[in-house]
Amino acid sequence: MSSHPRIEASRRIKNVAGVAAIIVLAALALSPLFHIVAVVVLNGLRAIELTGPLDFLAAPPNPQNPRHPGGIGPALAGTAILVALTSIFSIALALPTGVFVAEFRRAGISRLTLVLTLILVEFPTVLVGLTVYATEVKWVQRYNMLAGAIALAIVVLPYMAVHVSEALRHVPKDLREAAFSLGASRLKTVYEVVLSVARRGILVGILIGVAKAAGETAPLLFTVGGFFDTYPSGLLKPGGAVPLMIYEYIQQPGQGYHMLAWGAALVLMVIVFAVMIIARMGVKEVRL
Amino acid sequence: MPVLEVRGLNIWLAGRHVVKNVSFSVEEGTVFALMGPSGSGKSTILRAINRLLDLYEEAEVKGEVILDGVNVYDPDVDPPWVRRRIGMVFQYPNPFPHMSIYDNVALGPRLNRMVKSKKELDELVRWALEKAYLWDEVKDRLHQPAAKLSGGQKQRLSIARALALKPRLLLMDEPTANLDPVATEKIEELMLSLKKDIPILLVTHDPQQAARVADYTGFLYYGELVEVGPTGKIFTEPENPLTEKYLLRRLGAGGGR
Repeated sequence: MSSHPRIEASRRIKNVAGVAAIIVLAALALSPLFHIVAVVVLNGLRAIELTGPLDFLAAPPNPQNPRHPGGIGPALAGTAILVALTSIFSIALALPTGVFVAEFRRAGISRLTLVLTLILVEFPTVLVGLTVYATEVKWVQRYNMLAGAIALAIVVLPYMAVHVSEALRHVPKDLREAAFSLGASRLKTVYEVVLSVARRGILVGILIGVAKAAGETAPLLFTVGGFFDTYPSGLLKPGGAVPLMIYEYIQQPGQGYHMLAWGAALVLMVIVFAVMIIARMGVKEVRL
Repeated sequence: MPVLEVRGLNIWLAGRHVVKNVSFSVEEGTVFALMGPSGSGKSTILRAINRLLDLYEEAEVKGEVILDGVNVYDPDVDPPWVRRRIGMVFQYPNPFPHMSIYDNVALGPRLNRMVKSKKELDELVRWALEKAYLWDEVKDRLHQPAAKLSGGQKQRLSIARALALKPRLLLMDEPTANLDPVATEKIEELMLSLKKDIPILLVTHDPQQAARVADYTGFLYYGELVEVGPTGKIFTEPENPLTEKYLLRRLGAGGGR
């Protein structure tokens, strides 16, 4: 076979140019992400350096003094409490909802549930906060942590339910048939086989929901109150959360506030990225 | 009395008439093969017999399926009751991938509360694995994941899983379609040894397989059971020209898997 060196060379150039163009365009598309990460890291590190990383996570803020700005301890504790409560509420509801939607498709009410769940996914989160304000907060007569967790759970629930039902739907038909052929009932088939086979997908859905709960601001605006100086003292008492602290502090005049807000932003970003990376690691992606 | 008698079975899938007035019976101690080209309704008939078709809302079944004298479509009959008495093996070897070898076999007896003690369950699992010619290969790793077995071993595990319920009848839906010739041979030997205790209804698109293992053979062509009879007679002097055409073409081409 004879080769033709000049054509070979021009082909190689075209090939290299094509690959280079793809890399440049992909980098361009990702540049906003890199920009956000870079800005948050650069700005966030200043407050963390001044206070020290461990103190920044544990100490209360001291925004009036830009040389000793303190930390985000109370807000971080609030986020931990909110995420824990939200996870309990939303997992308890999303698992049965997802199972119902995926496994009992024949029932009209199951289809209705799916439609309502999909609508809820797109529901403006600020309206969820407002609704909880108009009900739970009015009833308790003060802002409280429980109200925040309820609002977050309403926001997170449909995401988790859709992920759970998608994960269940990916379980091969013949595994279900095998379980049924052993005399298993529909519920036993779900419980013994389908849920276990789909457990990785379900876990991904739960973790994505947790990350979302940690990062949401709007549902908390009219619910938890926003106390960033003292640790939350009870579920029916007001408290704070990291995203809410960022939102409040960045609007205040004064360098100390801004440094704390950036530091909090860095912590929030690390939390959300960590959960997302755990969720994606070694797990086949489940798409909405 | 035959173990299974199918009388005037008609099946519609989403309004399409896919099984037309099919009747046949499976006798004690025999293998009955339903052969025919793909899409002729063989698997659908199997799924009607153990009422797996109940799971598909687009399916409609008319006719009688009589197991040990009981019509499984009688309104008083509970579908899980039927499925416990009829074992099923599928085209793709499908042990539960998240369970160990032991748990795959033990699931059926556990679900149906067949055993009272761990010892009894151990014995039943061993019995089923021995029956499925798998015990010697897995006895030292019963608690390892089933997903690690080879294709042929997985299929024998699926057979053991079905056997653990001590079924009255074993349905096999093209059990060797995805196996190599060595694994296929082992499954065929297994069928011949199992049939003494548990009659087998085998679905295959390979006439040579029917010729090798079946005592009776039915030829299904686009939903109609064209011809039924002792395997020897079907293969040497078929009455229907369609059967002859199918066999000649398939046999002439060497069976083809």
